Amino acid sequence: MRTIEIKPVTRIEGHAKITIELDEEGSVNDAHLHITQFRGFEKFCEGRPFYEMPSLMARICGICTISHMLASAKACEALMAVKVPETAINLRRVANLAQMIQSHALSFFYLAAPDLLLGMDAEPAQRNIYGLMKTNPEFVRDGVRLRQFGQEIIELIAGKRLHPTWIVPGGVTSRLSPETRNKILTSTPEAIGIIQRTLNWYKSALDNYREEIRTFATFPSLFMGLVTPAGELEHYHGRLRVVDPTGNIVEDQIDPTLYSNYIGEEVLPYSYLKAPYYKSRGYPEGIYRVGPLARLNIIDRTGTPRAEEEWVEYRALRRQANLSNFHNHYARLIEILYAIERIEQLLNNPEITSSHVRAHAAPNNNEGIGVTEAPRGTLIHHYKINGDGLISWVNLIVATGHNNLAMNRGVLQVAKHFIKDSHIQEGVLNRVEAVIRTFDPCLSCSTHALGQMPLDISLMDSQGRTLDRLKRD
Amino acid sequence: MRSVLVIGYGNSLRGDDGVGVAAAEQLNETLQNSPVRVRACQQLTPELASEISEADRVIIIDAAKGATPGQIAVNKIEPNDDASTFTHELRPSTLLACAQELYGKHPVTYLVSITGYSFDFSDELSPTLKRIMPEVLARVRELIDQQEQ
Repeated sequence: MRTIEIKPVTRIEGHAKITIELDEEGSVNDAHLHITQFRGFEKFCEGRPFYEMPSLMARICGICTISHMLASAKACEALMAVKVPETAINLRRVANLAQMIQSHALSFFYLAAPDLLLGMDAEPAQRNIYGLMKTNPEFVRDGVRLRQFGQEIIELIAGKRLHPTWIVPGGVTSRLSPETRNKILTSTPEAIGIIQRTLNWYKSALDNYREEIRTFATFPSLFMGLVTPAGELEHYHGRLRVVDPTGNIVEDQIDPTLYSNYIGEEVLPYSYLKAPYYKSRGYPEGIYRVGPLARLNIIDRTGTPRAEEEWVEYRALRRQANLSNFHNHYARLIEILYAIERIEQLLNNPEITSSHVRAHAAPNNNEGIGVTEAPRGTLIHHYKINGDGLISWVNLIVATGHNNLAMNRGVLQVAKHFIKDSHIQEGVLNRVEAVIRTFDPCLSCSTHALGQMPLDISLMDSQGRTLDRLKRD
Repeated sequence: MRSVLVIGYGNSLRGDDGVGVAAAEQLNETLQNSPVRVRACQQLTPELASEISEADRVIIIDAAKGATPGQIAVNKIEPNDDASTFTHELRPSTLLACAQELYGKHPVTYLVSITGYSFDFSDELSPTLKRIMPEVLARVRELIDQQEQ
């Protein structure tokens, strides 16, 4: 047995390494994604007052802050049994969609686009967003502007771009002024123009990625996410739907607070990230995916006109569920378009500037569950409290966790396709990393090592002797 | 009137690493209704290149490691496109290079570096940096006022 190690995986959020085991003939035998950081939020929150949870949970991630705050606030509101004012819910929706825009723009323009535009085999020193600035400055300016668009909305309505304290159990701390509403609405046409331009380019370039589409985590699996009662995209409330690889609905309109009836969690010996699976099919056959690809696979329609047109075209790529994880890039672009349109819809509701944005209550339940769709997929926060309102138990299932089994399957698939002997080449290395990047894993969420490790891949035999080594400082 | 952008950055949960953020937040309180824009952030990201390109002068405040905690160094910086370690976090000089690449210009930029004492987990600055904060703010205001002359 020989083993190839890739560490760290670059251009993802967090730290991971990949090992690829080779047999005696040099063919790939197995592959594992190891999440090597440990954070322990579930334990150190114990003993804290429940109402602190949204602010504590916001610190899990610097990208998906809003989603964690929302899932947390919703779990707290289940503890309080409080009815959140409709305007607060809609303002939260706007913030969550704005976060999705900035997160998807980061993933597509900053992290994935260097591979897409400069080529998988381009020099690593050039294959980054700075290299892209030199070759495609207009493209990068578009990405920068979309990120700013999302960040500015969050700053305008929540007070801060990062880790705002605006979302609290019971609602939000401040209303939206008509002036701020109008300011945001004046910037949406520019954002729509950018994303339509990007979608048009991406669609015209799809043929260039035929091999990646065929081999980047392209396998049958279940897909899960929230939908509206009408089967449209839903990122805040909604009910869970599960579809199979043929696109058939396996479960629908599941109350997300009953998640534990449907989702089991396996602990893997080689990773700090747990591996959730769909209980009815057992472990590991119950492998499922969440996130942009999954969301576009489970819906009947999007719910906004421009995104609907794009989604219909996207779905025409395959009559059943799209199985290639590479299409997450495409799905992110469609979701950005949807999010901008939906933000316009929400802000054009006259009630959005209402001052009734918060309700108050003491705890009335000892257990609460909050579920939202984060940019990377379904996010579940589950809390229990004692009689004094102090947290006694926490369970978090984050998007990257849901995708754990699928990420491992994806690495194995791409390694089998691209590694034909035991010699390590940069292009192979980056393709293995790139398949992980299609999931846009946020490893900070799921389990943090400080500092940046150099890239160090070792090929070892069964005795642990190093046969080959590739190092990137 | 020419525009000035002040960026204070760092991790305010790692003690003195947050001195840039603390300085920016204090400046922001005293510069209300001023044409000076102040931004406090955890790290430098490419989006800042856009704002930087629109300014005539930029002052970046950051913590530094060194043998003399409390030392304040002011240096003019130039674009540097050494992006070998580029991910989604940037050095000030690389950020200037981004502004030049993307928007065709970069302003006169000063980096105010304050040597920290402790970078352990804490949401407070060390007594050393708390003591020299008025001097930090005064140095930054000098750089702002130079612009307004």
